[in-house]
Amino acid sequence: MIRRFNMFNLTSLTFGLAFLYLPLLLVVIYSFNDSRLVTVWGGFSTKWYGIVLNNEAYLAAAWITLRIAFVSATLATVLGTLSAVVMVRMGRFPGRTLFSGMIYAPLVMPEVVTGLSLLLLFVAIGLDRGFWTITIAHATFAMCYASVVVSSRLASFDRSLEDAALDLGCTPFSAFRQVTLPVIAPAVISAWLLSFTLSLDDLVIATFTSGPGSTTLPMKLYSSVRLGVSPEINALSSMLIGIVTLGVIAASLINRRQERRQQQDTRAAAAAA
Amino acid sequence: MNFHDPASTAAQAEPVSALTQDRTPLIRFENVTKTFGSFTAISDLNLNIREREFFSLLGPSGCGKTTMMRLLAGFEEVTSGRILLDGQDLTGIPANRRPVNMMFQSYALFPHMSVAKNIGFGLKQERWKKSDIQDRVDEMLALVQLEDFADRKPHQLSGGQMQRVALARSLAKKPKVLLLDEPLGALDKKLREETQFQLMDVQDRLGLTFIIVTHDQDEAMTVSSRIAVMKAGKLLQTDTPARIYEHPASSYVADFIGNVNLINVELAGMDGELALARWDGGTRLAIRPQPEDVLTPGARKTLVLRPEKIHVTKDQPAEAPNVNRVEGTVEEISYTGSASTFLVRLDGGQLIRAQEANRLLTSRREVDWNDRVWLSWRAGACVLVDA
Repeated sequence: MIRRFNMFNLTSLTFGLAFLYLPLLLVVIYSFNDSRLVTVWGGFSTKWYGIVLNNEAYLAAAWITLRIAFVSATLATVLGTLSAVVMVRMGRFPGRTLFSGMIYAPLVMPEVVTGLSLLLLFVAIGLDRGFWTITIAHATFAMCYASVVVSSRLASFDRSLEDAALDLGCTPFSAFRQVTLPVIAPAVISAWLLSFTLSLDDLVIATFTSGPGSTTLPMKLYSSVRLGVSPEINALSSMLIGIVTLGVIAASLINRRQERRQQQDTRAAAAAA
Repeated sequence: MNFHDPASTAAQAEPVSALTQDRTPLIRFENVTKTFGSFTAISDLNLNIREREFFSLLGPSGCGKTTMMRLLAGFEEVTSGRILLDGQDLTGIPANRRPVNMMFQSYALFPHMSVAKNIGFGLKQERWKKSDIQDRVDEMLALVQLEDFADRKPHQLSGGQMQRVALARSLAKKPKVLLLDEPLGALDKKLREETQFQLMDVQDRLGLTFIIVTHDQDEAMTVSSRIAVMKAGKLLQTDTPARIYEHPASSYVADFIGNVNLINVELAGMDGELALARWDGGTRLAIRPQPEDVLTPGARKTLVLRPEKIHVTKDQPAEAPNVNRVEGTVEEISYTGSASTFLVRLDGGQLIRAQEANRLLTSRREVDWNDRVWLSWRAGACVLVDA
């Protein structure tokens, strides 16, 4: 393994990171631009943030988006955890491969297809489109991600912990509640954070499944941009970037802490052996 | 002790031999079969385990010993047959309602709970009062000498400490039977030996029935009142450690427990009380038969001869009807501190393993590599099993 930073590595790193983050950086920089013109620097100012925070329409959209993200993340985490338990625990049962394939397929499904099919479903069953349809749609696709995160933790979970709980008098459900869930809690929390973030920044599926009065922030943003990019959009985007970044960092920190603890346990066990 | 009053002798603490006889069994396996798909883990097995026994299930991995334990704990259901505990049929009773507790090989301590919470977990499930749980946990902590560790988390403990917490947790509910799944497998040798005696002490003090699953024959020999040797889902022999070691029922059992020389012989006839057998090379061997042995002249049998029963000398031992003598050359000597094992090639080509305690310092040992030596053993030091 090459450990030193030579010229080549440094250049690749710089280009790679620039490619990924330069556009985002530009948005954040221009959100502090004093000038009305988006591409001309007119000095530092935070006035666009103030304008965004006083814009009723933006605030309403943000409020809806947060509510949808909260409810759908919770739904997705519950469903994802349950499906992960089934996948990891049930061992081999007829149709297991099909079932696991069906859980993970939406991960690679084009969002347009997911959005369209959900729209058709909601129309077919006569469900009024609005807050709940977006929430259900988001829960549907975020559940796959939640399931992946939780099942990877469950796979390394020592089954004899659950056996021990049963042996000491727990019913299967209370063994899950008192032992399994607390142990895998970090994975469940990071699954929730991931689902929350996914819902927060989704545009395509929300567009298909939204109705009157349920415009989410990404939708609002997109429709504003079509009328021209204004500095307040930059400010709004920067705030979204901030929230999403915080969510992702929190999720990975929780995961990392859990991994470290697991490693510690393994080391302790190895030392004991 | 008054030997003329049977009532008072019965009330005394009984020796182990009495525990293994004439008692209604606490646990009965009746024609138990367990299959997983097409694999038969346990096949038509009958076994009685009596109260206060320290019973070992011994066998190589995959022999079904762990399955026996999981059937008893209630993690698996029997495919056919039934298991009785104290006269009660366990079929259909889930693990959480059986008066049986288990100590797991991995200890299975709950990582998010303190030592005290771990030990009190089973009591909390039974809705004991908080103060009662506290008392019982303290009692258990004292039993395993971990009073100062009540508030530690499992990952802050050493392996030996975790093992003791696991033991305390599985004893807290006062089970009728304690199951121990390879309880000492993760400990180093020295600690394992210490812990074996601790386990025996705890079992003795609490008067419980312990069933231990192990693949370690030394461990089984040390701790158990009886051992069941298993192979491929069947019991080969169930007996006291001494009987298993000295009177194995088959050459497999003999070979599985300790070191052994297995010698194929053909019965030749009787010489008074001794049976005479012919070895491949034509050597005549004298064997003191067991009462249950069936001795048909011409039958092929396997002679089970433990290395430590063989004497290694440079001089030819005196001839006697009940002493077997063979001559050979020392090929290998392995030194294990307390004893030395000699690998001797007989003139007929066979290899025999003989063990001598190192009574003298090794530097004074008179037998060396490539020496001509005499091996001798008494007719009563070996047994015959079916070939």
